[in-house]
Amino acid sequence: MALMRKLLLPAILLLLAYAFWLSSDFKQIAAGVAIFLFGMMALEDGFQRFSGGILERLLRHSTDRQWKALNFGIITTTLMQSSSLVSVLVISFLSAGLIQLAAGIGIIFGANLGTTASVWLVAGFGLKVNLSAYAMPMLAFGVVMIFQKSSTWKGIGWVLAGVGFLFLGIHYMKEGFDTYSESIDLSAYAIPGFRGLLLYILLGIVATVIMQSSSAMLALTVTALAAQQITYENALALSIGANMGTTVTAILGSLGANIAGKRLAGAHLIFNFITGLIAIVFIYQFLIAVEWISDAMGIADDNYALRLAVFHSLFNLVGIILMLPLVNMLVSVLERLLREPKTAIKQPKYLNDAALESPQAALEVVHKETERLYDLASRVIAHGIGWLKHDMIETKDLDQLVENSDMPPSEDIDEAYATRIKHVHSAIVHFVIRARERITGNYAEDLESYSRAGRDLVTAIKDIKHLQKNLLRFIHSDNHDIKDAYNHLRIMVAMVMRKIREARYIDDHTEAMLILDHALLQIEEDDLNSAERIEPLIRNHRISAEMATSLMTDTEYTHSACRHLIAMAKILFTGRDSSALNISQDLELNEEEMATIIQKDSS
Amino acid sequence: MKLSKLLERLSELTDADRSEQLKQYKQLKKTLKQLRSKQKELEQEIASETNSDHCKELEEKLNIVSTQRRKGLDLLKELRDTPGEF
Repeated sequence: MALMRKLLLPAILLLLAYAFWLSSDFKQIAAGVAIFLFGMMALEDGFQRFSGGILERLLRHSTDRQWKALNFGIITTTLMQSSSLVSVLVISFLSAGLIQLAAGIGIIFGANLGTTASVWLVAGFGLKVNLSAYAMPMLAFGVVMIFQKSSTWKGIGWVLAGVGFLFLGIHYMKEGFDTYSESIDLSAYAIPGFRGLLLYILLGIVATVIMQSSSAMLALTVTALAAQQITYENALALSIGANMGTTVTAILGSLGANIAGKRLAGAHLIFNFITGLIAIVFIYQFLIAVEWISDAMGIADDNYALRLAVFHSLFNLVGIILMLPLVNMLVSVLERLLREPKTAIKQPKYLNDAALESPQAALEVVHKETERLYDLASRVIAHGIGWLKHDMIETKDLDQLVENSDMPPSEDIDEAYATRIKHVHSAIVHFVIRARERITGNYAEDLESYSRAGRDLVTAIKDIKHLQKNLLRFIHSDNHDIKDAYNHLRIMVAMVMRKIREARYIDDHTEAMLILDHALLQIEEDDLNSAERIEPLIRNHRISAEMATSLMTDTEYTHSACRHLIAMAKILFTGRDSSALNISQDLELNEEEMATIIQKDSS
Repeated sequence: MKLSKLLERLSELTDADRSEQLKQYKQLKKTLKQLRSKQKELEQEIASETNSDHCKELEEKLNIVSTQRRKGLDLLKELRDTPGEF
C-alpha cells in the first residue's frame, strides 16, 4: 500500500507528460486547469487576510439570514453576469472561514436565479458584461499590490490576481477545447420525444463543460433555435443541461479548497441536478406555464430567446422554492458525506472516562498519554531541526549525522503542532481538570505534575519553531562558521534527546535523575560559554552582525527548549511521585552551584 | 504496633502540617541515602576508569551528587530544627 502511494505521484506525472507529448490541446486544457486552481489558491489566500476585518463583517451582515444570502447571490451574479465566478468566490469565502456553509448555499441558490437575469439581459437588451476583458489588468494590478507591505493591499492584490488567474485559466481551457466546440453540431442529434430530451440535456452538460460557460451555451442554443436547427423542446433541454454543466467549474474550484469549499460545491451540484430533474419530470407542465407567462408578458410567439429566459427563470425559481426549506438538512447531509479527514489529527489513545473512577487508573492513563505526547513531540522536534527522529535519537554518531544529513522534508511546525500535538495535549489538560474535581491529595498533585510536563513539552516545541527559521537556512550556508554554529545548536538538542532516552529506559531511578541533571549541567556550561564562542566570530568578521544576533537569539531558544525537555523528562521518566519530585527540586543545583562545578571541571 | 508508633500515626492524622513535614523528612532521608550510595558508586567507577572523556563525565556527575547531598543534609538539619521534633 505504501509502495503504491509512493508510485502514484510519479505515475501521474509520467502519464501527464505522455499526454502532453501526444496532444497540444490537452496541454492547453491542463495548463488552464492548473492556472484556474492557482487562481483559487490566490483567492483563498487573499480572503484569509480579510478575516476578522471589514469584508468578513460585510459578508456576515449580508448573509446572516437565508433571504439575505439569496439576494446577495442574485445581485452579485446579475452584476458579474457569471454564476461560475460567484460560485468559486463563495467557495473561497467559505474556505477562508469568512462565511458559514448555510449562507454559502443561500448565495449559490441566489446565483442560479441571478444567472437567469443575465439570460434576460442578453435576450432582452443584448447587454453583456465581459468581465474577462479585465482579467489581464487585474493580474497586473494584483501583482503590484502583492508587493506592498500593507496586509490590506496584499489581500486585495491576491484577490485581484486570483480572479485574473481564474479568467486566464478559463481562457486556456476554452482555447484547448476550441477544436472540440467547432465540431458541436446541435442539429445532428435532433430526436423527437423523451429520448431526444435526455440526449439534449446530456449534450447541454457536455457542451457547457467544454465551453466553460452556461451563458455561451445558451447563446448557441438561441442561435440554433432561431435557425430552426433544433426544436423548442430541444432548446429547453439544452438549457437544463447548461444549468447542470455549469456546476463543473465549481467542482473544479473546490479541488483547491478545504472541506468546507468541497461541501459547498457538493451543494451546488445537488441543487442544480435536483432542479434539472424537476424540470425534466415536469417539462410539459413547465411548457404550459411558460406559454401562459409569456403571453401575459406580451412576448411574441417567435421570440424564443425571451421564452427560453422565462423557462430558465421559472425552473430555477421552482428549485429554490422547493429546496430553500431543506437547506439545514442539506448542510447536515453534506457534513455527513464529506467528513473532515480524521486520520491527520492525532487523537488521545489511553484517556477514557472509566479511568476517572479510580485515582490510580487516572494517573496511569495520564502518564501513558503524556509519554505518547513526548513520542509524538520528539518527531516534530527532530524534523524541526532537519533530522529524522530515529537517526537523531538512536542510530548515528552525532558528528556523522551532521556530515551525512538525510534531510526530511522541512517540517511545518505549526501544522505538525496542530495535527500531532495540540489535540492530544488539550485532551490531557481537560482530563486532568476533570480528574482533579474528584481526586485530592497526592494523586491530584501527581496529575498536575503530568499536566506541567505537557506544558514543558509544548514550550520546547515553540522554542524549536523559533529556532527553525534561521537554522534551516544557515545549515546550508557557504559560511562555515555560521553553519558550524547552527549545527552545534542541533547537536545540543540531539544530545538532550539522547540523554532523555537513556534516562527513560534505565531501571535505576537515581541514575536516571543524575543523567538528566548532568544534561542540564551541559546546557548551562554551553550557556556560559556561548558569548565566548560567538564574540570572536564577530570580531574577526567571520560572521555578519545580523548573523550574530540571530545566533544569539537562537542559542537562547535552544537552551530554553533543552531546559524544558529536561524538566519534562524528570517528571515523566524518573519514576518519581510528586513528593519525591518536590525533594528533587529542592536539591536541584542553582546557577551559582552549576557555575562552581563547571569552573572546577575546567580548571 | 508499638504505642509510640500508634501515637505518631494519631498525631499525623490530627495535624496535617506535621504529617506533610514528616512525609517530606522521610522522603528526604530516602533520597539522601540513594545519593550517598550513588556517590560511592561513582567514586569507585572514577578510580577504575581509564578513558579521560568518560572520567570527566563521571567527575561532573560526582560533583552534582555531592553538591545535592550537601544541600540535602542542610535541609534535613533545617527540618530537624523546626518545632515539632521527629
